[in-house]
Amino acid sequence: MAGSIFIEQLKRSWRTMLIIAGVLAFLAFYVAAVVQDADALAQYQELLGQLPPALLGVFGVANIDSMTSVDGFISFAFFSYGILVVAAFSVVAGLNIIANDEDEGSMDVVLALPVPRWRVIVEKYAAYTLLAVLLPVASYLGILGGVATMPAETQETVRLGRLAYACANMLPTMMAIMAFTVFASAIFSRRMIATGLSAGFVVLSYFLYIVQNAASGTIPDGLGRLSVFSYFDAENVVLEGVNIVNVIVLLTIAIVFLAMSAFTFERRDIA
Amino acid sequence: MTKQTVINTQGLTKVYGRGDKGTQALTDLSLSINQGEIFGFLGPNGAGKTTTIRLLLDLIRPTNGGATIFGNDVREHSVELHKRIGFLPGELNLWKNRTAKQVLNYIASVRGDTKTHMKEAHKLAERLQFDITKRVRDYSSGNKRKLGLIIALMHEPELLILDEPTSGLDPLMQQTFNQMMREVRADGRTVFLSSHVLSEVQSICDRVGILRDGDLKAVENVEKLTHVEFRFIEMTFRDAVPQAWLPKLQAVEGVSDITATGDKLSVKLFGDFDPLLRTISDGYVVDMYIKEPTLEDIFLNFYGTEEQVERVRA
Repeated sequence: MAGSIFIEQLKRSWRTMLIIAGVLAFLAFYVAAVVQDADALAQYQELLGQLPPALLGVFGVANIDSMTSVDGFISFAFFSYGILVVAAFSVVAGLNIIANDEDEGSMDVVLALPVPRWRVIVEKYAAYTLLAVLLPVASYLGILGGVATMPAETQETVRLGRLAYACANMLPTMMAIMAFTVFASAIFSRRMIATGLSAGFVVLSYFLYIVQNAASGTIPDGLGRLSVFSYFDAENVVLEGVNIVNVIVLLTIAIVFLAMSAFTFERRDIA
Repeated sequence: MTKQTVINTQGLTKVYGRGDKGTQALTDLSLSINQGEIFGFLGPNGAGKTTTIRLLLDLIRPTNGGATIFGNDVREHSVELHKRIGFLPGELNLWKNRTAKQVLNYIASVRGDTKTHMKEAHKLAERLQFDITKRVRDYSSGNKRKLGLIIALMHEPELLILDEPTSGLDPLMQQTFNQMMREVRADGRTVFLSSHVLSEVQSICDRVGILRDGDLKAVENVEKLTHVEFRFIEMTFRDAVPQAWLPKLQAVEGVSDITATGDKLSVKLFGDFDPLLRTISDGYVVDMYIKEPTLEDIFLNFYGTEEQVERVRA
């Protein structure tokens, strides 16, 4: 019956998702609650202004203007590291779609049922995408909680709408990384290889993203466009709003990898 | 009435890997299994039994040849065919944190008629004395096997494909399993089971295929297989067995596996007794014991050297 794999995956994974969402919400709350002194931020920005941009870039600061506002600082302090948690989740979720079941042997039982292989991928992917919505929602709730502890005059400066966009922007990023991981699992029947390839993809992407910030207008800057994280770019979302092109690029990456996964998985032996 | 062919393979071949590193798992398997038959696929580990089963279920793809089930190609019509097939894998691995009931509900919902299938699952659980409320990780290997059997049988499939079905079951449950398979056959449904447990095959199968190193060596009725014309002879003589007999015995057609120790002589004899008795006629026989071959002995013949197999065939 259509949808049964989707429902089963939701049942199996919602508890784990709640834990991850809780961790992320706490992280967001902590970052937002810590940044309460706008004057201190101004001093911080003055100090950073004296450092070479390349050095700032190494630490993930693309634009020191983000330090002038509380929401900008939250986006820098939370999303720079929070996205790594989200990326790790995406790899784990992606592995759960094919690699783990295949490695543990339960894929034989599933594929002996009257269900095409592509449907297993699509339904499980859809379930994880739905569960992944919890992460931006939890992040935003955490930020709201942290902002609520700020003095009233500081709260007024926070652009909650922009932060909501930045949180929502996590979702297409997760979808892209998850789809890549599914593709790696669809090509290689061994979980270790799929895990290594996916982890390598995330690490390389993050590296390219960081180097891109450090070397504006150079070759690494161009290579940075190969990184999924450069399309996430929470800092710019907070400063300038959502870049719809970036969202479309991430969703396109997700769809292309998912389609290639279904095509590849359909044609290979189950280990 | 002609019975429908349920499984048909033609030149089914599987090579794992490529080039020089490739492993030939199955070679040119051509086999037909009819409706209402319990067919046993016999062979040791690595003979190609599981490979054949996984090819039939379209979990892996053949290097050459093909297979049909109910007249439909197993690759092109796998989803439709899986509605009519119940499958028990050799190693059943399920989601360890789910209870058996949750697993069964999931399988039933994917199959499409949860209520009916669960009703049947409850009946089967009762018959197999299986508690469905525990988590999968808490079951013993025998209980996991029972869960696997319930999964395979709960939708009352027309064809059962079972890989080592009684592995881990206690003797009482094996009897229950045998009875269930006989009932399946009585319903006109078909069973294809792999095993290396000869007694299991002997007690329930109608026909047996013997697989060795990916080659199908023989397909026989179980009854016919157990009537292969060889036997083991053990003789005790009044005096020590003369060494001069040994070359003479080796030259006798149908005599093999000659062992002479003191006053005892044992041989394996194919065919008639007379040539053997004439060769040892100058000895005084005190006792003679003739042992009919068990299926295991027959089985070992098939798994002996190529020459031995040829002799059995001859």
